[in-house]
Amino acid sequence: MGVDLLMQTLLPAMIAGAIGWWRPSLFWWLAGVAVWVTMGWASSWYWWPTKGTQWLPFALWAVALAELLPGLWRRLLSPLLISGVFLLALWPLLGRYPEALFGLLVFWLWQGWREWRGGAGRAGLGFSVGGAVFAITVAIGGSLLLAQLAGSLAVLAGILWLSGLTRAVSDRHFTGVYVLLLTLCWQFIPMDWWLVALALVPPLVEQGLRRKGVWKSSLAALVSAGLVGAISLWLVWPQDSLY
Amino acid sequence: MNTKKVALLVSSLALAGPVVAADYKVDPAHTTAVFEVSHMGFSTLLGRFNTLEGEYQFDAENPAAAKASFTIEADSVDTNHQERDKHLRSPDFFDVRQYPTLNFASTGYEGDKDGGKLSGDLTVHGVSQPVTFDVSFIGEGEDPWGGYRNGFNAETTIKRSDFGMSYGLPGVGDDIHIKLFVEGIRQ
Repeated sequence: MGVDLLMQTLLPAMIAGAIGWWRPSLFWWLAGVAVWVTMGWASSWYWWPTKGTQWLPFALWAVALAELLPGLWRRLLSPLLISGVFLLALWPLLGRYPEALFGLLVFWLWQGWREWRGGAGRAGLGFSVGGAVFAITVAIGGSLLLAQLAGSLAVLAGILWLSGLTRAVSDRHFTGVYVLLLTLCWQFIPMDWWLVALALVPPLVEQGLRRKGVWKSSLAALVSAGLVGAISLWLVWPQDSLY
Repeated sequence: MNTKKVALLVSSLALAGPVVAADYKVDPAHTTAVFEVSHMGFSTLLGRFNTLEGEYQFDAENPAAAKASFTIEADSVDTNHQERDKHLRSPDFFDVRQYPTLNFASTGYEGDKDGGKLSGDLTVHGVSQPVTFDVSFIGEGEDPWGGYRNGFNAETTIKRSDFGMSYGLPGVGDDIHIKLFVEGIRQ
């Protein structure tokens, strides 16, 4: 069973990432397909989402759609479309749990900060290591499926980082899908907010230090992910034995 | 109106009126909804739902008119293991934040007052499917508090994959055996 989980998590993302490396214009489309395949393979296949969690790939397709437009329109449309995906994903909960919209606010603040800082900026290690550590936390904290999706995103972000070492590739638009995943975990499992908030630390630290150079920011991402992972596991470790 | 006329009116209404089915409200303190599922083919895991409500209508003279409806709080799932229950509430299984209740509404009954088959629509995980419960009547009578009760057991088997709940197959079995032990208070 463990091998199945790993295959469902890693294989689609690695194939999508490899093709996306070869054809960068396809990366966001294929990244969405990879997340959709992981979800369908692990759970049940779907064409149109009926559950909040099933909207996750659409946050990547929203970026792909916006990428078809030129510069300024792309930068405007991408956050708008991602915000629409947030609303659709959280819609079933908003009547009972309106605080779920806080996730959208975090996305706007983070995306706004990145736009304000300016510069294309090459993809960093933050999303990848943050996602990987969060995947382990989620697996113990309540949902293997969402842990698999976190793992899939970590692989995709890792490939984005690797390709960023050789050419100008930005991870600016990865923020949306990353925050949406955290919001889904916070609201649908539901996980404690502080556990979810901890997963924001590695990418924020890495992006904050990006101007100091690749090595410094990458090291900071690794150290912060290690610390966050240790704290998260300490917080989430079950009192009962696993089953 | 004199006493004689009132007595005549009451007795003629009682004799001429149609037989009315009795309405029962489920007594949660004496009602249990349990399920059984295979764990990796090694053993059978038993779980239950701790919060439910429901009502039913039954007339021994006209069993075919029997009706029943139940609502179960998905959040109340209990398998005697806190971590597993949390996992069962997550989007992997019941997804209780999105689908807070499980519902059953009957559509027909075939049988007599001792037992039969109760058909209806069961909604789990936001998906409705027709199911048929085998029902067996247990007993009835007055309770010590002046009320009137009866009780029945019902059971059926569903496939969770039919309800869009496919995560963890085949380790966590597909066939779910559901048993209801119901006691109702006549209203």
